[in-house]
Amino acid sequence: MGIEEKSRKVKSGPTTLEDCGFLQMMGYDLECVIDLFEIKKDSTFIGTTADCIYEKLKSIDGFKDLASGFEGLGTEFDVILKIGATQNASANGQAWWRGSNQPIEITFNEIKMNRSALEVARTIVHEMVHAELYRAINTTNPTEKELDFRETFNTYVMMYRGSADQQHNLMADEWVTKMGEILKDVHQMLDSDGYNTFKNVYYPNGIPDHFYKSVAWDGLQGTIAWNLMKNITTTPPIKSPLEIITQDIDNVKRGRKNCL
Amino acid sequence: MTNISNILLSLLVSLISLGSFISEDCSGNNEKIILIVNKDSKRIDVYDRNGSTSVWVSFGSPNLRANLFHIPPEVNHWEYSHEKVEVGHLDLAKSQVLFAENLDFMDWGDLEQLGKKQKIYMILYEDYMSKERFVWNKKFTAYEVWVTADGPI
Repeated sequence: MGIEEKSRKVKSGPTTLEDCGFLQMMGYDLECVIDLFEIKKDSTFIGTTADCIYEKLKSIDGFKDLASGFEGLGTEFDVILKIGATQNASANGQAWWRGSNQPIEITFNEIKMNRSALEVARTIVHEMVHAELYRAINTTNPTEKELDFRETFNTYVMMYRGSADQQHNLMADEWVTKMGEILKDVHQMLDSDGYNTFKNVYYPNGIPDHFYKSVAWDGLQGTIAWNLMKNITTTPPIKSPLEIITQDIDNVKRGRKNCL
Repeated sequence: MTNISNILLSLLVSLISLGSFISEDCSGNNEKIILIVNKDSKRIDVYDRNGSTSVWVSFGSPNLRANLFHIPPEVNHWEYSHEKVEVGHLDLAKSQVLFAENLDFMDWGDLEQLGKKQKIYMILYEDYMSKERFVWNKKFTAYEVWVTADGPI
């Protein structure tokens, strides 16, 4: 839990809400804001474009829900966000479960940070879903919802070999729509001018919901849901789901890289 | 030219290309990297979109993909304004010429990084392998491209 100062008049900032309230009573011009997320930032992450994108995501309800498992005092698991080299050099990011007494480490590949802002947002959301899945699987105080989830997840464990396959298949079945909604909500916030230019060039009639869902699909190729969807054929001029996703992914790559 | 001689020609050029490797030009010679893209390859799809060209290269694994984008000035893109140039045999001799379908995913990863420092061009296979291939003053159309390599997320 931390305090965000909007206007600072003291040399060292207060560290608790009570301290902040006390200083307000003493006449200091401070705004006390509770930061609910127990998601920590490594120094490699702070001040980067990814950090800016993450801050925008934090105001989105869907993302808040996603991150809510890590919020408040006394959370079992923390998440730490880093930018650096990933184990797989070609990956955009990785979520690393390091054991129950360790924070879940999310590393964004530094050589992949030059992508469009919406693609980076997609990677952040995707890795946060991995972190949430690790948390829900490993929590020692599961809620009823988490117990239900574990039952669902166990079927994925039985069906798929590696943990990445299990989680990606679950993500493809259960999370794509939610991830798409989060991306839709954050897009305009990243850079409103960039959003308008992108819309005018690629989707002059308005950016359709399927665009964001397509973006969320990226990284889930090879899952059973993806393969089923890939095999759906249509008669031209009607585009197949795969053609629509391919075009949307093509477009998102051309988006602006700014986060303002 | 018959199909067989086309294949032999393709094989010859491929063998010459195999001797090369993707490297960063540190000599200051401004060496070009030229990718030969075969639309008919099973691994390659080429799309014309909004006045620009996209090339999708697939690999054995569904989560690996490389893309080439040529976005000409007419598109008025906010970041990319790729040129289209004519190159002759002398230019080719001074360039690294690579066949897109022969590159593995790691090569594309290297190209993505190199592309941040130097220009990369694409010549379509049908142009590169046209029957005027060995005519001395033949000019090939090279499209400047931007390369990305997307691995698993």
